[in-house]
Amino acid sequence: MKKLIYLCESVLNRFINFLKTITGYAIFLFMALLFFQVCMRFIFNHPIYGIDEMVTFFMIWTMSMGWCTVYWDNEHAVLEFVMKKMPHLFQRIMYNVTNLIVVIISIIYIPGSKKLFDMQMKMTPVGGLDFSKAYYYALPVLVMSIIMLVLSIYKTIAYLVTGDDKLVAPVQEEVLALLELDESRTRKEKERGGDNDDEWNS
Amino acid sequence: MMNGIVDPYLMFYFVSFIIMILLQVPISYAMASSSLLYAVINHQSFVMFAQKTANSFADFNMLALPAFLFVGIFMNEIGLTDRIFGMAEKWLGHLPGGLAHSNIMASMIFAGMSGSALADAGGLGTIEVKAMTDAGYDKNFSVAVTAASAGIGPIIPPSINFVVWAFLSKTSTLAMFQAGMLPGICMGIAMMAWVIYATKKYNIKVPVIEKSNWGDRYKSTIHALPALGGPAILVFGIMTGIFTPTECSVVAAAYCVILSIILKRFSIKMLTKALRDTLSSAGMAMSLCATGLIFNWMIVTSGLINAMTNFMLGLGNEILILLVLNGILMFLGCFIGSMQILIMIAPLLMNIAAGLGMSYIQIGVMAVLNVTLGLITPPMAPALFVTAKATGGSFDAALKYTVQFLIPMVITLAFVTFYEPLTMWLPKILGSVR
Amino acid sequence: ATTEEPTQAAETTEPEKKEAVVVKFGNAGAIGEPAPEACQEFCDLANEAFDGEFVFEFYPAEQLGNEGTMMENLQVDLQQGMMCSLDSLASYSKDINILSMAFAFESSEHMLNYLHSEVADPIWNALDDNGFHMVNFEFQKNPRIFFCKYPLYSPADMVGMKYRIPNLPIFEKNALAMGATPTVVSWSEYPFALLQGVVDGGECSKDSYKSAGLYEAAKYVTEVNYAYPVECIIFSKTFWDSLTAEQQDIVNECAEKAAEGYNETIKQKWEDDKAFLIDEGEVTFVEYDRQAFLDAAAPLAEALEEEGFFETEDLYNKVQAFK
Ligand code: NA
Ligand code: NA
Repeated sequence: MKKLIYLCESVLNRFINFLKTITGYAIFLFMALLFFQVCMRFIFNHPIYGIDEMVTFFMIWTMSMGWCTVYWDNEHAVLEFVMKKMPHLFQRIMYNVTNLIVVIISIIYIPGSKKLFDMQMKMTPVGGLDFSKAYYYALPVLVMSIIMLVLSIYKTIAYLVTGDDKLVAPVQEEVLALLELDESRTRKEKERGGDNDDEWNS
Repeated sequence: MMNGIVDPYLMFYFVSFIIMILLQVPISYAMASSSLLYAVINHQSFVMFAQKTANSFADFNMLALPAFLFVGIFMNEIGLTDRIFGMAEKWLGHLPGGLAHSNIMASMIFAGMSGSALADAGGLGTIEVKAMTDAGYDKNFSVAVTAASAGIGPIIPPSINFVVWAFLSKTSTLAMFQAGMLPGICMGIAMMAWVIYATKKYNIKVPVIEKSNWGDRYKSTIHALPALGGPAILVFGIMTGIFTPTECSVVAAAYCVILSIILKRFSIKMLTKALRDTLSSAGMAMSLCATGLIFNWMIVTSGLINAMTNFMLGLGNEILILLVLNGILMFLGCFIGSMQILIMIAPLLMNIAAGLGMSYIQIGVMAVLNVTLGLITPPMAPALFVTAKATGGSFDAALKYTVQFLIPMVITLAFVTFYEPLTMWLPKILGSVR
Repeated sequence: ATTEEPTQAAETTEPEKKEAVVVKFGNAGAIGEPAPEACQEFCDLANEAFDGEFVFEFYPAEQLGNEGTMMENLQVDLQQGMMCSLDSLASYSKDINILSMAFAFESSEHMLNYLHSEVADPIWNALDDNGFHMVNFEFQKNPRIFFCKYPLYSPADMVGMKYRIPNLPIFEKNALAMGATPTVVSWSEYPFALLQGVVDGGECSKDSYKSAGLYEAAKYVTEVNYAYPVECIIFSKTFWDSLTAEQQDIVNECAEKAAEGYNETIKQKWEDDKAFLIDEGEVTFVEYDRQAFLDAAAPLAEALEEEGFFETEDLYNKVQAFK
């Protein structure tokens, strides 16, 4: 059983790692598109119709995927000053309650975004794009909720099997998530890195 | 809007939310969960969750958020911040209080490029503390000045909290940016004044460096020019209004990338890392905005906000209302991150502003400045925490000096709250507010 | 507290206790504009007529979301009603495109004749299919105009003009027909986009030109009256179908009354606005070449027809019969 969990962990880590890189570059792409649009407007006085909507497309997709990676890394903003003082057992129970909340919220997102997708598919495309807004409003949220559901179910099961707090415990200092201090990030990447499976053996 | 009906289960949603965040449920999920309770009890469609999420990601003004985060992260990666401090040192180091003034001024300049406070504390801060301790300054005092001056970051434009506030209150981001300019400068000056007073009163060791000659000053300024270019473009763009804030953010991002290439500091590895970090920070912030929009739907349509507004406005006296409001914000700021507070409390702030005939812009600057105090208030004091961690200083030892900086900050806050022109004069003469 | 009194009154007269049903009614306009005022009027009338059976709560200024969001809310009954510009429902009902097409109608009467005829039935059917029920579309705004930072005497002046459009394809087609460069800007950003030069000008109903402050940054108006916009009141179909016939009649009556009040004041309001714009706003009303604009728009009908902008075949020619 544990082996299977480690295998899943490794696969999911690689997946999130890959997702982070391509989504990061998608952010770069839409910033570049927007910069191009600024130049077109200022230098050539001729903004290109359709770019703005394209940028919206990327924004929704990248932020949806970003939400998944934040959850995987336990980087969500939390209030920790009360729980710090609680007994460890209570903390561990709450980690799992939190994880169940994520499972539930992810589940209720799925029918909601599916319904929204169906509603938006009936609308005519806008903003100079050829395809319906369903593909960049409802769909990314649907995909996000499915990924999040998979991740949260994995964490719930894996925690029961391994009892490893790192799976579910929030990154200790909430501020680090906003700051991205080199030190903490490299430490974390090392700890949770996809290729680095031997931590499980220790 | 004075609608009378209040959801009978109101307290239930509210209390469940409070319990969840106290038990370390991520704030975004706590907001989603109490909204879920509301949706289930009132038989509301779950489409709302997906819809509000997509809508908050789709807001064109929110595009500035990842871009400004990228700029802050990238600026620290390129490592030009030492030049900013070097320049400030040559210009202000000889004044009583010496490098502490340079520290504050460097933060004011860095604030013109960065949208958040912690990028200042963790990046520029390490250079500042090192320079000050090398020059023989009290380390705890150096850490305190650094942590406090980082708070200027979200007030002088650009500011991520202003972007979020503009999104929540549907005001102009540009006007918010313009409105933050003078309060930000005032905050810097108030801190400098406090440095002069405090170093005398508490006998803090602050060796003054020799007054630099004009040649050195010009040389350091020329040397800092590449780092000054970014803030210059942004401030010019924001003040003249030729760029929208979203455009400003990508222009700044492009400037950073081009600069790093010219200075031969660019690498794909660095870019990838910066982009991945941007994704994480932006993902966290945007998930809060998304669930915040869901939460706002709940508290607006359930009647909670009306009940709270009626209570607050029932206090009668405008000064009292604003004092209580500031007290609430300050209390929340001690425990909860600034953006989270803004998201949770925006509808209340807007109603109170409308009730008092205050502009959404002024109350927005007030709220952002107020929650910025939370950066240096115990028990969390995240700015101090980051500075101490990044510089190897002691959180507890520096706390004493750090909280003293609340005095100049609260004085600035009082002016923002009760003296309207400090925020509104600039947007008015620049034409972005009628 | 004021709304509680009628509820209690109803309780004492009726033996079985009936809880008031809350009806959330939204609008995007800021308080003080004509549309939200009409909404408030409508909600007040309805609250009076229903005497506590329903409580109509009015949420102005995008409190329930922007127009697109509110429409989605209606589809899933998250909110029950709203007032919006009829044009903005075009994403759900293609024939509505013709209402915004440049110079498709020659007068307000012309357009309303069409909307009251059975040629317009596909519009209401499509809205029905998407979960909307149309209650009233007779809140007649003042006609649509062009305006810019420089004078537009004819479409020749619009070549290369950065022209603001909402995120609706028909407005893009109008812009292109005039030779302008379409730029999507949300309604709330419109004044700032003008100020910052993101756009040079655009179009709007006469009412909005003053109330949204668009005149402050773009002072040349070409009063072409190229379309005759109306505001409408729509309800969620789920909610509407849950009402009895009598209750539906009451809502219809209240909407009619609110529309009458709106229409009585709106024309005079433009007269006042115009005087203000000329005297105090330093706005110039341009002497323009109407025929040149008509000529520029002439190929539109066929192009739109070809590109599938209308559900009804040959719609343009069909509506011309209602002059
Ligand atoms: Na800033
Ligand atoms: Na500083």
